[in-house]
Amino acid sequence: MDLNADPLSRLPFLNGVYIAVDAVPGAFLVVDGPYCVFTKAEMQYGHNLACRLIPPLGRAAVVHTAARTGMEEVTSLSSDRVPAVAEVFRRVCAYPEAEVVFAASFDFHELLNFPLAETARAAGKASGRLVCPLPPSSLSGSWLDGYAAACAALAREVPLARGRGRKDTVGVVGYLFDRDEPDHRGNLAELRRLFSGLGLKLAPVWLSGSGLSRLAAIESASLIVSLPYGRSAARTLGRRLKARVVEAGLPLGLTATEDFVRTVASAAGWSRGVDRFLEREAASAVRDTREHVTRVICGRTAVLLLPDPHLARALAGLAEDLGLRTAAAGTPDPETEGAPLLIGPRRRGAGPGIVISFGYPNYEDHPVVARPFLGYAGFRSLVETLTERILAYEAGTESRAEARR
Amino acid sequence: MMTGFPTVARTPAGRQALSLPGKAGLRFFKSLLRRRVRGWELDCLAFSEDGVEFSLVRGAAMLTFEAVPPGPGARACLLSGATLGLNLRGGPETVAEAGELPDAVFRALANKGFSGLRSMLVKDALAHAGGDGPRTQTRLERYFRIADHTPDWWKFVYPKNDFLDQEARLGSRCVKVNHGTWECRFNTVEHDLAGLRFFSDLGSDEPGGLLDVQTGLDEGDVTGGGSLRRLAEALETAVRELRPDCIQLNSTCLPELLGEDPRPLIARIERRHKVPVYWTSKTRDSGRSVTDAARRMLSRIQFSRCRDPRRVLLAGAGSPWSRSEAVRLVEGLGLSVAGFLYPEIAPAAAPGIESCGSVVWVNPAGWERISDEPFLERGFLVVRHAAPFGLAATEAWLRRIREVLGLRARRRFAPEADGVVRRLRPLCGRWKAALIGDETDAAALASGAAWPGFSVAGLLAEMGFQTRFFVHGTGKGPVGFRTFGFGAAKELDRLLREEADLAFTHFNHDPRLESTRVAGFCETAFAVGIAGALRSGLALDRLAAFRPFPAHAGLLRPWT
Repeated sequence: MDLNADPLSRLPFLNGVYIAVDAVPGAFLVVDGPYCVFTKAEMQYGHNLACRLIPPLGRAAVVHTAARTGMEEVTSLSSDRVPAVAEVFRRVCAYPEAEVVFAASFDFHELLNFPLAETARAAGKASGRLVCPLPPSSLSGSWLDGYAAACAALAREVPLARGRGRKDTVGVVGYLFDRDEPDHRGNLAELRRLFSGLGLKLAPVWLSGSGLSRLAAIESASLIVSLPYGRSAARTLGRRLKARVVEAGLPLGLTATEDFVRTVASAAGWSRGVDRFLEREAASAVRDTREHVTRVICGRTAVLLLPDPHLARALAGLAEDLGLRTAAAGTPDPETEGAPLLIGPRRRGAGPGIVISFGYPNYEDHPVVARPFLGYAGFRSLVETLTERILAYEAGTESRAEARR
Repeated sequence: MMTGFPTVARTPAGRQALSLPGKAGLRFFKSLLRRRVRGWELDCLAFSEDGVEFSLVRGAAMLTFEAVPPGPGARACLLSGATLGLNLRGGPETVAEAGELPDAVFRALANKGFSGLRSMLVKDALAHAGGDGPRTQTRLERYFRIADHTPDWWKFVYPKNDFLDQEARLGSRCVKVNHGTWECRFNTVEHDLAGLRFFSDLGSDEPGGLLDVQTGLDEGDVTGGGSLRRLAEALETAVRELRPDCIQLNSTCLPELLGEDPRPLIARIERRHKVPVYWTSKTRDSGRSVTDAARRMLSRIQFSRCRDPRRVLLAGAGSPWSRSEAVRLVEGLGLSVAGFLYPEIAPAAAPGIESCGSVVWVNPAGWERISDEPFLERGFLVVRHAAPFGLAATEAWLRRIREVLGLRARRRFAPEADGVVRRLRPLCGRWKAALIGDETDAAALASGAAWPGFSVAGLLAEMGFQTRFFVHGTGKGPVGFRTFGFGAAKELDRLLREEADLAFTHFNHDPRLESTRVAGFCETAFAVGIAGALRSGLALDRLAAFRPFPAHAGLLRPWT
């Protein structure tokens, strides 16, 4: 057993499901589990200032099935719970604002062989609501599995009409919309801008803070770009819509954005003018950031502390663009290499360095104005953030040294 | 007695609080029984103005009695006389089984009579041990258990549950081993950023012990029967690599469901490594678990024969700031503070604990389920009284400490208290402070029932705030305070806009208050002692004075 293992590297299944539910207005989630599935939502409440899972007034979007609390919880599980759990589904399906109801199990409830999917489906059928049971993975799945499972369930169940795809419309599936804040809104705007630069229209992104009816408009896409957080959902939608599916990485950093754009353009058969578009965009991005990168950022060491391997991989690419060396936590020597950039959620015991809160969960950084991290706009904004944090850190160090003198 | 504390009308408690005896009271009661009741041991004892409840045990047998004052109530008892009545709980069969015991008990107590008993017990009683007063539903019962809060649009009071096994910290060299899945681990928010919390609780000032270790059970462990093996590995690794003074093992629902019993593992670790393991579990009362941990820790200390009652441990003293104020106050009585108890339980770490003679509770609210027995058994005098929130309560708290520990007054705090009132009243008097809820919530906020342990309304009034109640439904509020009734959301909205600058709420960000530009606060806004009253009053004044969007209130999103 490794006592130094980072707990955030073990973020579990339901955390990802919660993110997905939060990303779809009108979505509710019934978790067959104890009341503490509610307190789990407080994590998302701190990460997303616009979180809709647990409003102080009104209806919680996360609902548990616990009949009792505390020590009686465990003993109550031996009884016949079907009528009580069915009643929970019936009640939630009857909410007028409920567009889709997900169903999942909490860890020890998975052991009970409870007919959760059947119970949920029966309530959905009786009420006419869309119900999406998720596979029981709370004991083994990661948060990324949870998010992907919710996207895949939605992709399987959402009513779609085939044959409405337009040649110039592309859908993006598997985007991790972990919060409804201007970083992600900025990303979505940047994706739209990139697609429009290729002469393409962007269908609703899965997931992107859009409700069910808007998500269903993906049927207008003739090409689906599959991002890492929902590959299975992308394949399902492609199959259902008879649309071509192309897998792409995250367009984060100059090089990865170029790769992304080329992949999309090639798959869409819109290769003409791509080089000119990319040249223009890259030249402008480099011109805007050159002094920041060369005078402040480059030559440092970055420690990527992200529980999200896809984002970590993309940031490693950005580091290369910026002339940053990447290293494992605790290895850079601040005496000889300067303070490292610690990119990701703040960790206890990560050592000294310049903390750049990024990814999920991110409690410390909540933008008010658009601050994307994807595409060229995202590149500019990341350079700005890194520069600001590095200089603020150094100014703080300077003033501390002055105080000591 | 100190004089000069300003007094204000406090809402009468209107409840029969249950008290526990202190060291002297317990000794007195036992001595009464010892003379006439042989072979039976006193198991537990509690009393109120209306009765003295106690249980006697012999082997597996337990009998519970209640002594009541003379009068009509006593005449209906199993045994009654001119001085008291005595009941035996459990019906005719129990009475038959008890044989001569009730008579013997009655004779033992009748000489002193009910008033004599009570006057001896009350001398060093451990007050504030729960009560039958207005009890508002907890956050667990009212918020976490309910998914649809639409009908609760009028509800602001959601007191926190006391999960003592989670709060308790067994010292700076303790490792906490959580036996459960990562899914379970991430049901607890891991950040401690005040602005991002859902409920406005205080964060933890101390990160706790060495490290939290998670066994991280997964599907393979459960289906393959490796769950206990995983726990054994975690305990062994924790002991070997972290070298803790002790381990707190916290087992969660999943191993409980599997029917795991970790006691053989615990015994092995303790035998092999000489490191005590304190086990808390979902199926044991957390108060009992924490009490047991305290008892075991105390049993390892070699106390000196000569104990100094003036050397004290302060229990439930709260934040570092509150602790320093409590220390200042008790030092004014001539006491010296050896250390602190709860949430940390590490008495051996207190310097000079061997000669330490007293435990003084600062704020026992939320810790009621922890018994003082381990300390009484080890010869400590214990002072458990309502917390010193506000000037009058601080006076009462100091008086109680003097009474129980037999001290003479030293430093006079009255001039300082007068100064606080003179400073606060003109500032706080400008603001309307609203306490909102149904009759039960209002009564709890006025009376200082088990929660919150002090009268919020009384304290606000003492500081000079224009204190008022908005009561849903009946519109009946506590006596002595201005009360407004409301039945519809629009009416509450109007009251908030016209009759409140501050309002009590447990939500950190309450949409009702934010849209009406009312500043929210809850019991965490108050600090103990005289300096605490000043600090709290000034903080609430600042909250009311600096509310956002003063010129753009109309642009805020309505909640109704």
